[in-house]
Amino acid sequence: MQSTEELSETTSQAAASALCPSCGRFVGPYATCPYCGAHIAGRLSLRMVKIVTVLLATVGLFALWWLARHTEIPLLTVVETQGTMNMAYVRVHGKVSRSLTYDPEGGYLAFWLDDGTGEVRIASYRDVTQALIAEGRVPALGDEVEVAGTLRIREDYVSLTLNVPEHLILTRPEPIAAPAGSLTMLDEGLRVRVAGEVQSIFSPYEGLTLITVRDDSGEIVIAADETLIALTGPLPEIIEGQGIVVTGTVTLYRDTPQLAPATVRDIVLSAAPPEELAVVEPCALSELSVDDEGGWVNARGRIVALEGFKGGLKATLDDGTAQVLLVLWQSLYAELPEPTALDVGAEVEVEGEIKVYQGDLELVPGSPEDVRIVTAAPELPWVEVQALSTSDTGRIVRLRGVSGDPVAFSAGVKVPLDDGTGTITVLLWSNVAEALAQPPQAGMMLEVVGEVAFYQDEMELIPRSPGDWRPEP
Amino acid sequence: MDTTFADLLLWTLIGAAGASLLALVPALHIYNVAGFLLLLGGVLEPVLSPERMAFLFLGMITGYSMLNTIPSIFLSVPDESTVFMVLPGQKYLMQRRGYEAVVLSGIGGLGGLAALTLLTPVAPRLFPVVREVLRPHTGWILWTIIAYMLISEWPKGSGRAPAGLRRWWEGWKSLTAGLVTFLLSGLLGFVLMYRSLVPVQVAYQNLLPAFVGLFAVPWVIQNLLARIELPPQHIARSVDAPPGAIFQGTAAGVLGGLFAAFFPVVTGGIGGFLAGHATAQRDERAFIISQGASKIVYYVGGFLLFFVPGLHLTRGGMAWMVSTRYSTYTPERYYWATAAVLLAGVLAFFLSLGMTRLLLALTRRVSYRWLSGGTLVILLLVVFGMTGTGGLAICAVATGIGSLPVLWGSRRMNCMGVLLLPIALNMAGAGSVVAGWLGLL
Repeated sequence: MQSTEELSETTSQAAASALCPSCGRFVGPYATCPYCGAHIAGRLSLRMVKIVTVLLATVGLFALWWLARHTEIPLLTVVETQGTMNMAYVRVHGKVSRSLTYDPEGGYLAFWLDDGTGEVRIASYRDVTQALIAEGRVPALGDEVEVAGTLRIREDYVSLTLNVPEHLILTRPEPIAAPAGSLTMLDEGLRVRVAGEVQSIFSPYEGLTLITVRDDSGEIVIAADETLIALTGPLPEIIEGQGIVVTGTVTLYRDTPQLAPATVRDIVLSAAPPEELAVVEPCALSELSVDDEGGWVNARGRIVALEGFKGGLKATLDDGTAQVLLVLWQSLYAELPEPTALDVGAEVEVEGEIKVYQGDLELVPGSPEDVRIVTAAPELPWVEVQALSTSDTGRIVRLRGVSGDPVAFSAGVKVPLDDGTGTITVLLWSNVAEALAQPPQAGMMLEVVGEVAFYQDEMELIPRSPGDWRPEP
Repeated sequence: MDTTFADLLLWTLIGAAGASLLALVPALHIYNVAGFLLLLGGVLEPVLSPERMAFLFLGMITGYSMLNTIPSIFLSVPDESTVFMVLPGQKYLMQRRGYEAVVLSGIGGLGGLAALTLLTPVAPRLFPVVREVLRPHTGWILWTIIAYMLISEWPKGSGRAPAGLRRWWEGWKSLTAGLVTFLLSGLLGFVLMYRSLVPVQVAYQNLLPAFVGLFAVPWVIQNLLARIELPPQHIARSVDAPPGAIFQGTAAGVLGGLFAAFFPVVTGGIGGFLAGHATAQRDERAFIISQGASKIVYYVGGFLLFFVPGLHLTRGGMAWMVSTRYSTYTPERYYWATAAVLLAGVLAFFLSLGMTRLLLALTRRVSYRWLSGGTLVILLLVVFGMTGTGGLAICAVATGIGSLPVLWGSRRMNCMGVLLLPIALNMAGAGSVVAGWLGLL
């Protein structure tokens, strides 16, 4: 091994300090020279060092702890946060601005807080989440929350981890009583109490239950999702027609107001409707305008036209003063006592909500009970296929015959119908075909009502609703 | 802005070279520098895009973790990852072999980088699985580490003290000091976690005053009080490191470093210590090599986890800082990052040799006591500059706690109670209860 050695010529101060300054003899670590008795200056007592160390470690720590106890956790706004604040223990104050996320298995709970300058995602884990649930302090949409925790700055958002359940201070605004029909987009975030009657219960997919509540002023949908149920317990058994009082925060679903309760306990049911709903007097259709949007009205008139659309039927209601479109959703139409009685010529009395769609007034009943057929539509006369021509385009007719082999195409099913005088193609759009109680098959004896149409010189009969397809036993 | 590999590599190498210089400044952790750059992020944006900054930081952490051995050995200023390096390092220093200790640590560092490179192809598949497996067990593993730390320290003493309490005390005083150190540092950790006196604007430096006080200041004060004189150092052209020691040290260091990088709270020093015990390491050379490998894998590997696609793991201060401005998801960037780290590591290794010579030249001209005094001043200035008077107060108390093991001969690792105790209690769900007892809620 070859090496290069570099030696320094520094004088050893340590060696010099080990000599007695008086007699020059070696005294080592002694504080007093054992030879001449001289006091050796500059030496520090190890005992003193130990005492100072212990004092610093204990009294100093106590002082630090005392100071810390009297130091307030800094309150920050979202806009003030910056990358160097990562891991800071801070407070933020704001309003819960989005729905909660909860993982029951992992115990992870998260929600967004808006403090007016931006949003921060608050997250808690297993033990803290369990404590919040046990103490009934899980925040909900619209709640005022002050929370302290560890700040984490991410590239695209700011989050705060709640480490201590006590560091979440929840203030839930007192609800104000509001009529269901009076709530608009402008009320978003407002905590209200709505009393009415359960009109319908609907689950568009697993994990979401929509309860429509109606009162004299209109209706509103209560949204109860799986997070609400997982955090606050199962929904009570709800029956249509039952009286209900719901407290919740107004949220928007595609610009339509709906209510989000904070807990399932905010949904209070009574055995019967709380009070008989006031009878809504019929109004003249000419009195209605776009200003009445959202209102609940009663109208009476005659059906002068009926056409199908994806999702249901649109009937034109005429009371002699004006016309409005009566929208009958498929589910409601199917539940009418006599759906086929509601056709052109029928006289009906309808209660429903006024809506405006593409500038047109629509009357939308909420339940089958809202539609009362005063006079059933007159039965359409029989026609024969051979009697139909291009001049009948758009006419509603009734045919009777035997079906041939159905042929499916991208938008529905085509079924040939032979009445002995000729054959016509019955075109069932997919929304009608899928709702049929008896799907088409060859050899069925049928009565079919529909609109006459011509497509590529071929005559077609287009039923407007499943009620227009009437298989004979 | 151009983001070719050559461009990002250039920024990585700039980072490594810059950090290699800055690593010589006692107590100036590279996180301080990175935080400063982050503050200037808006101003630097036209030149330093978030991706370039990420790669610059990658180079900085590589350079720093390779060269922070030098102040640890020559100035006795360790951080939490090099605390175990000081004692064998000083031994080498007193034997005039400080340069050799730096080289041994550098060899370990290179071994660590090689291991990280070899892991690259399997990391995206392996680490997410390991993470999922470990996640539910983190709490008890941490308590096991604490238990091992505390009970693996044996009673010391000559056994010649008079029988009875005095003999018991002679044997147990170091153990008692260790337990007291762990407990006090743990209490300090609670204060820092819930009501720190460090200004919120520099919260990412919350632990800086505590670490400086616990690990660096006591060594420097000890040097000053003991009036240590640095013997002339020998710059060897060869190094006493047989292949067996290199392999054993590197393997243990990589094992410990990976554990520390992957596992929250555990630092490179603890990881290296555990791996050393696990592999029954007795050779001092292998120990220094293992510490070099461990801290590279801990710092650099921890940051590289941020680049592993599909893992979404943010470990270490550097990754947390970068995560505020940049995220990456593609395997391509991960491979680029590993390649850049490898080249930056090799550059830093050669720079470490030059920097050691530079420091040696300085120690020949300036008395070691003056150097220690200057170091102490720099330490306090850095703490004050970064964290203000609140940080100085924390540093003072931490110095008191960090001096207990120095004066009563227990392990300095017990100071890691500052992190281990509050986090382990939090994981056990008792952290807030203890904080409540302490009136910190």
